[in-house]
Amino acid sequence: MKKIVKEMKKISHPDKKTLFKDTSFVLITCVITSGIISLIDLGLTELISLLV
Amino acid sequence: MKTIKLILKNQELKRKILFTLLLLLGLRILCSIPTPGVNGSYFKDLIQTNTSLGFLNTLTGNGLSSLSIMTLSVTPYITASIVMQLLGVAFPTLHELQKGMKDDRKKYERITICLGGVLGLVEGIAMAVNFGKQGMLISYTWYWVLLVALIWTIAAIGSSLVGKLISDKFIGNGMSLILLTNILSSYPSDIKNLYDVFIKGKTIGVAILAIVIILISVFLLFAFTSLIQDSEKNIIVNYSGKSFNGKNLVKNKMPIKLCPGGVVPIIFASSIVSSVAMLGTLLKANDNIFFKIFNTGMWFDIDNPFASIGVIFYVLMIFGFSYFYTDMVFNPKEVSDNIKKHGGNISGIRAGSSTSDYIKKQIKVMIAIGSIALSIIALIPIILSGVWGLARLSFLGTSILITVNVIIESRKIIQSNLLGTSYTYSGGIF
Repeated sequence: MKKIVKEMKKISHPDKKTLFKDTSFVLITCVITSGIISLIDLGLTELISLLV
Repeated sequence: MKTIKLILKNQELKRKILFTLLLLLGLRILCSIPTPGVNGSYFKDLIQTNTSLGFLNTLTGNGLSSLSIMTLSVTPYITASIVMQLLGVAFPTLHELQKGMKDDRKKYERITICLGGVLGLVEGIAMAVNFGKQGMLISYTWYWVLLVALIWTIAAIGSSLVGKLISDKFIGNGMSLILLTNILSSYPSDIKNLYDVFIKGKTIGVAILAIVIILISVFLLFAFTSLIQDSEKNIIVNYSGKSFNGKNLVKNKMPIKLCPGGVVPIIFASSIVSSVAMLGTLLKANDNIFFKIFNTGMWFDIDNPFASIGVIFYVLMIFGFSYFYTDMVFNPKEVSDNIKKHGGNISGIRAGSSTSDYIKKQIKVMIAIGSIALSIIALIPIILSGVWGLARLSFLGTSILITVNVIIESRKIIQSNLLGTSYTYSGGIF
């Protein structure tokens, strides 16, 4: 356990600013894309229920 | 904004992105088309009670729950990839094909797609036969069993081919992008699940507090995942020879990622758990203790303490696949030979086998730490599901790893295209 903690200290991480920017970018992309996909899905479901 | 403007100016990149999006849209349309002769609501309740199947449903973009023609989606291809990787250990020829030149790799991909087709047909027939009897098929005859299985298989092969087409001709890693769109399509139902459990029927004050806590938790979880993906250990390699500033020693960093196998180990482990859960459902043996162990919905459930043994298997599989997969894709001897060939060395370590052993040791340490981190992320949704009785949340666990990995890597690919450089998809899923 001690060895793992010691090794963890040697690992380099992205700085807080980069991490915040990356996380925000991922979340915004997720929200926009899932919004678009759910709109497409809703439209298609309606269309198919009309056709079937 | 600046990147979007640059993309719009770059005709070639604009075309590639547009065609990629059109192909992904095409697959989404297929996900909405119901399979003929099938009772579309058959799987909905089953998925709510078995979270292992919920993961499979997320990977198929809700194709499984709605029993659309994309019921199998790219899952047979994922299984085929796992089988091929394992076969590579037993048959060195396969391993050489995978590691070989472009033509060899193409041949390997073709074999994987064909194997995916065979597995899809077997899976399709098994599902149609067993669930068909139980009411999934409107008319249980050999004709309908075969037709439904064929439709699912053809759609599965088609989606794998679309994935390969995107990777070869357009932008990004096709298979990863298909998985991403499938996962993102489940987000709205996740929001509804969270709303039902934490917000619905609560006072305004409690509801606002719940929303704030959920938003902060989601942000922190995404940040932790990004942190894991971007963390690495740098090994300093000294190269002798004249550098541009006249010094004789050039120091280069050799990064080793925290999770050298990327998200593959966790996908492999989750796929095995889901496959066993599916087998239990097929055999109508979900109450059997063995299949309960593989039902993630029963882990951390006070009423089924014995089922939580499955967590130990799951974590062991994540560790095992991390070592196994990294061992296949990363060859320390090859790296040490390359360092030696270019006149480099690691401080305090002799060239040759000592360097190779040192790199191997460093990778093992990184895999151990990375596997702990992967296990934490993988277990969060399972704990939530067990403690709060939440239905599977697709933005957590394996899905969050795929989501963060694919979005960050795709951004890097687009940026490198804008700069006119080539970027190799690191930690790519398939």
